[in-house]
Amino acid sequence: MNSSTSSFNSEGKAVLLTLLILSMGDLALRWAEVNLSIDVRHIRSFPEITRKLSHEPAPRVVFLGNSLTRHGVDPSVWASVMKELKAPAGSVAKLVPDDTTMPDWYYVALNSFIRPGNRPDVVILGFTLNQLTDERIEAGRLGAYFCDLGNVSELFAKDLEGFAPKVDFLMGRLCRLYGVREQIQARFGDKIIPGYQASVRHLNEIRRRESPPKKHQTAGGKVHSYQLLDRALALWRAQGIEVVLVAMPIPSGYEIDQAVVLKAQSVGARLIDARELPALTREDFPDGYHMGPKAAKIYTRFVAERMAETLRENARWVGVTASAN
Amino acid sequence: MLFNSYIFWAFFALVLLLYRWLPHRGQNWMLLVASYIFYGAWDWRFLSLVLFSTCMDYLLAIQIGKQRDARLRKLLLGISCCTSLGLLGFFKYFNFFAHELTDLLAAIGLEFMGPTMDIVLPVGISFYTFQTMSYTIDVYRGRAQPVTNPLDFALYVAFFPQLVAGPIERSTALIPQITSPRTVRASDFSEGLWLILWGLFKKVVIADNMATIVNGLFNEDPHVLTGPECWVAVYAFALQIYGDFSGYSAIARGVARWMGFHLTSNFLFPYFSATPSEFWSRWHISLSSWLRDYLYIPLGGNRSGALKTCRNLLLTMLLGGLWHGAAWGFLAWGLVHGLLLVGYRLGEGRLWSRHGTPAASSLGLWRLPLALILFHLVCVSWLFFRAHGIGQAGTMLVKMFTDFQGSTLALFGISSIVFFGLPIMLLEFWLFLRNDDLLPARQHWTLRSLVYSHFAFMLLTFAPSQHHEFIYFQF
Repeated sequence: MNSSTSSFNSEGKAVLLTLLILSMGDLALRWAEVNLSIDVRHIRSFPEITRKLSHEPAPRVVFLGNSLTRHGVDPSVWASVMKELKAPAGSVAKLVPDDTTMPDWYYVALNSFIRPGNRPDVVILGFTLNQLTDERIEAGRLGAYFCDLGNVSELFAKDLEGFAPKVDFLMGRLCRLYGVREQIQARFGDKIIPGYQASVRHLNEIRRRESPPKKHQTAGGKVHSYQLLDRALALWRAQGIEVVLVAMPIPSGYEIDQAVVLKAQSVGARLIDARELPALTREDFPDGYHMGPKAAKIYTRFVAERMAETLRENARWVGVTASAN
Repeated sequence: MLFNSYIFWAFFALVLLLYRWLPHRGQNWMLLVASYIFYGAWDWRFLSLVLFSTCMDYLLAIQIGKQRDARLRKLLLGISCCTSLGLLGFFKYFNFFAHELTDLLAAIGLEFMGPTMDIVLPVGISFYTFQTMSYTIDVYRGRAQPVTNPLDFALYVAFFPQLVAGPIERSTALIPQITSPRTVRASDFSEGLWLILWGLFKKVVIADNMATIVNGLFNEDPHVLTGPECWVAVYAFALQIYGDFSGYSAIARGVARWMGFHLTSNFLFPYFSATPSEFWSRWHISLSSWLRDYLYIPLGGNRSGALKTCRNLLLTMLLGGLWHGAAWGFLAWGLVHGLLLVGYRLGEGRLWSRHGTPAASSLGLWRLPLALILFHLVCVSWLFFRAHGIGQAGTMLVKMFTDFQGSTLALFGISSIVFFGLPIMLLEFWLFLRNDDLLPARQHWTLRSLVYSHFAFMLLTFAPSQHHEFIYFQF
């Protein structure tokens, strides 16, 4: 064996060992993440949650959203309000992965209850700011958690434009270290870099302030794309699911894009405006963003009161309620 | 098509596959087509500029080589240089000078609307223009033979690994590698792999993470920043620009190495330099040596007394600053470096030898404090380079020395710099002491795989979600 061949062999060994080390790291992360992250545990349980819900009494209500909905919806308050107002209490489940927006919610719904055939009767989608837009598609995270290879044709054809997001998706699917890198960075940063969260927020705030409006936005930044919301509303309605959009409260306040109002109207979806509930104060948001327990009770009651009549008057569930009672 | 994009690596995989398959002439044809595709991916319209430069300098160099009449040779060289600099001047400096002229006339009470145009800067124009200029000048000086095969010359101008951000290759170094068949040895593969991973790590993990801090702080109102935050901004930018540019150069070398080409090393651990002249023999080596050979020495270099040497140093660095772009900040950056070179030159012979790059081991214990002092002086120059204007740079500079109020953001910035920058700086310090940037590629394969694993792990998990272009593309 000459020196050239041996050198190629040694490089081959170095590359193989590198791949082996990375694969072991990836496997370790996949094994450990369920224990390390409540959010991952929650995401992994979506099929089980919707399967269980499909065997529960109707009306079966899914609260879809992110951590705002997780903190803001109190199922026990929901049940007691329904009882109070003589509406069918039915069953409630929450699908609320952290830091997610419309693109994630669309595929969560598709893969958790549409494709497995465990569709609920009502989907209540909680949002704030511009979370219903298509603007934040994290292809790697979609690959890691919310999509599978069965979604590839739809994703590649409609949602992931260009070469890079498609590879991002496949990388996220293949390598968990890559797919959840933002979560790893945040967790790592929190542990070892002082003032990480506050400083990242500060820098992002400067960036937002200074960056010019995107091409598809007007100077006021008002024109957004809602293709995934459109597809979600059409799909859910086609499946006979009652769709409710809820504009949730946050201390900073925000405008609801008129386009969202029109879209909801056009498919007969209800839009509940819960942005400013009189009983809520800034102190009800302990971290400045998420609702505390008291706020959750107020918010859930507000939504439940507005939903009670719909649930009571819908003929599909009246009989079910009577038999359940 | 960026080196840190997936599309580039898909493109390069295809190029490499074809390259292995083809004979030498076929390789050159394929590389030329690939280079034009690579460049055209940014804006195919500017390919015409590359083609124009190629045709013009190819024909003029042949004529320069043929002519025996000294005046005609000089005229032909003049045409080549004026056309190259004219193109550069138009695309890079026209708006700046038109705007400054309008302002100047307004200041003396004359109303004048200078012609301004919405000129897009063609990517890499400064690099390939300087490369073709060095070729015609070398042919004129008799240091290089004119290339007779237009394909070879076209590939010399457009070779994609170094087309848009260097290294600025001399014809004497690159053309022989184009005209002769190349062999890819096993060591080329391992050294190329090391260079690519090292470069990607420096760009994606270090420079892009530093960019988040740098962009945030430099976009903030400087009056709102504290002194330590200004220091963080400057340190982070020093790390960002080094990671960004040296990362690009390392990837370019690695990519070329996998095809059997040996490109010039553009960076040799510049932040460990003890003197400004050493810094410039380690930072953007292909540009600094270009400026030395085609500007500083023709101006007289250090042959005509101390005063003229200082003038030549200042002029060279001012023009070096202007090469980066039409802005007062770049000129100020060049001026600071010119003054540093002059200042240190006056101290030469006392603390360090007058000629050559000091070896890592030379200067003994003096190296550490000297390197620290120089690093901070270089950082001050970066402030002018990065700031949005002289006013912002001035305000931040004053804050750096008068405001000592700590802040969470400053602590975050310093911790981030240490987290991302310290490991690579320690690794580079080891390479600096051994004076060999390819040393890791020759270590035992287990050690190599540990280093590669670290790089790959950091690339997978600490790549920021926002991709940043290479800084030097704008030059």
